[in-house]
Amino acid sequence: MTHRQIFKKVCDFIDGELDEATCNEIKKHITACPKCRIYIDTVGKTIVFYQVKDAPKRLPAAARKRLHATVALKLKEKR
Amino acid sequence: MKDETKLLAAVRRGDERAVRKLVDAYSPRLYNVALRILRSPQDAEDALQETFITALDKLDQFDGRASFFTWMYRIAVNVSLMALRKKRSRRKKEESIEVPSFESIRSRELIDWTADPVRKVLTAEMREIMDAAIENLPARYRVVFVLRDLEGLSIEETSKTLGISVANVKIRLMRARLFLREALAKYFHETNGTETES
Repeated sequence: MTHRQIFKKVCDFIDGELDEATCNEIKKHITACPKCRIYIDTVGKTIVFYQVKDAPKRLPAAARKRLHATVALKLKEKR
Repeated sequence: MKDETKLLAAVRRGDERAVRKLVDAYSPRLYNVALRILRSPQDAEDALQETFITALDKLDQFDGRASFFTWMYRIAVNVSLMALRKKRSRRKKEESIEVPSFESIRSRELIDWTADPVRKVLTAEMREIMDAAIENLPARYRVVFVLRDLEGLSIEETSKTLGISVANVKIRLMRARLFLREALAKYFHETNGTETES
């Protein structure tokens, strides 16, 4: 497998969308090619960074209160 | 599922307690998807309110093919996406994005910035850079990245939620990830070299 093919398949590899044989070919390639390994790892790490930074936030209590009020008003309108 | 059916029947009757229960059960997750797409607590709150209003208005159109939560989740994504497009169109047009070519990547000195623990690396400066990068990601790319990589939907679920093909999800996802990686690569001082092999 060439560097260019690895470049094209980086996301499918990360997403587990490739068949076992192709996966193994990529794994074999990156053990001998630091550049492709770093590229795949850094694409994967980018996702992890965003997952940590944008971890779920709590709905603020005041926003929850306003939401209930809005929905209650809507229910009244519908009656 | 049985509980959801009972809850939905009560909501359809206009039972206030059931509606409150529905709001409390679904709002945390719906708020988060809106927040991740819109990146503003105020805009996410507005989108959340609109999601519930739209859902109550269109309750008769829910056909039970997907779960009720999935149905509401799709409404939340659509409402957020429309709000994002409206917001962005006020600032600038939805443009395409530039991602580095294979040749550009191969010509660089790649820095391995994956070894340190995320929390150690995630400095205030880096958070700002990441925020700026995702803010610059046009809506059609951002929403795919949010659903697949932050919300954890599968490629297939992302495709169904957005009503686009699996192939399209994959293309947008790849471009979004490479675009965001590029911002981090600059932060870690990835520099151009001379290698051009293919």
